[in-house]
Amino acid sequence: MKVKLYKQKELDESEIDIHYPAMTSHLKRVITFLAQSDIIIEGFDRDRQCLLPLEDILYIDAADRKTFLYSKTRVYESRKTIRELEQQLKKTSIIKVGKCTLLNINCLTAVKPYPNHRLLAELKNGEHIVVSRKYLNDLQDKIRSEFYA
Amino acid sequence: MRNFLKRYISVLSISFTVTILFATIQNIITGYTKNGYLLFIVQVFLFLLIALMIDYFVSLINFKRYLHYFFSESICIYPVLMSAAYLGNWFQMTLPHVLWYTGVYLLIMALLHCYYFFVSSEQAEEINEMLKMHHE
Repeated sequence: MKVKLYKQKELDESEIDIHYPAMTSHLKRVITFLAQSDIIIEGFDRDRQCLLPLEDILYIDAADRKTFLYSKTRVYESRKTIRELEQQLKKTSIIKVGKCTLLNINCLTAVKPYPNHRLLAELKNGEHIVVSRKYLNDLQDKIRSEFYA
Repeated sequence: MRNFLKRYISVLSISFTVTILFATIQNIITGYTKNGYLLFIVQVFLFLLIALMIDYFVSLINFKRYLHYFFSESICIYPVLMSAAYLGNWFQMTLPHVLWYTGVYLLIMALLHCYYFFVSSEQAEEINEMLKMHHE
């Protein structure tokens, strides 16, 4: 893939044009990455505000009316509810996999069967989260549409 | 709701078909023709509806092993089965009959759990295949 960079001071924001002979899964990955690269989620490490790129977030869950953002190594608290984040990130690689759990499918490495017709999802950092049976087909459809549409 | 119906309608259909098939084959072999066979079918259907409700509540428990899920669900549904069998006069309440039908019940439960394990495995395999291709 050839990458050409042109500096144009008159532009308000960066523009990216992609010229391709055929859509490939590799190209789709690049497009997804670019499209999501400007999505920043606000998280708090105690009271310190942190701006987290979406690709750094593995999953999001809620417990005791608090919402937590999980990166590879750290856990941040969000001031938004899980429903608000679900709405905000609807058109991204984030999908609901449990009543209070959102998963970033870009951080999913594998799944295996788990009792109650659920799946156990393995993430990039080796952590496991349960995919509820209610959201199994949604996860499958999302992966299919995100990676192979 | 779509997924909920998809799961429960399929499990209801499988259980109902297997039970009625089993009962019919047994009736043919023993030459027993029940006058109230239609009533029996309705009773089986009602029993399965209650069993599905129990399954729904049992499924809310976070089991980590398939065997725990299987035994818990089987134990929870068993009293309902025996009550239905007694009230519906499905079979004589003698020890050999109770043991035989308990065995059949456990076999059907095991087959249902195997079926869902197979469905989950297929689904997991398909997802893993897509992930593998995506990561390559």
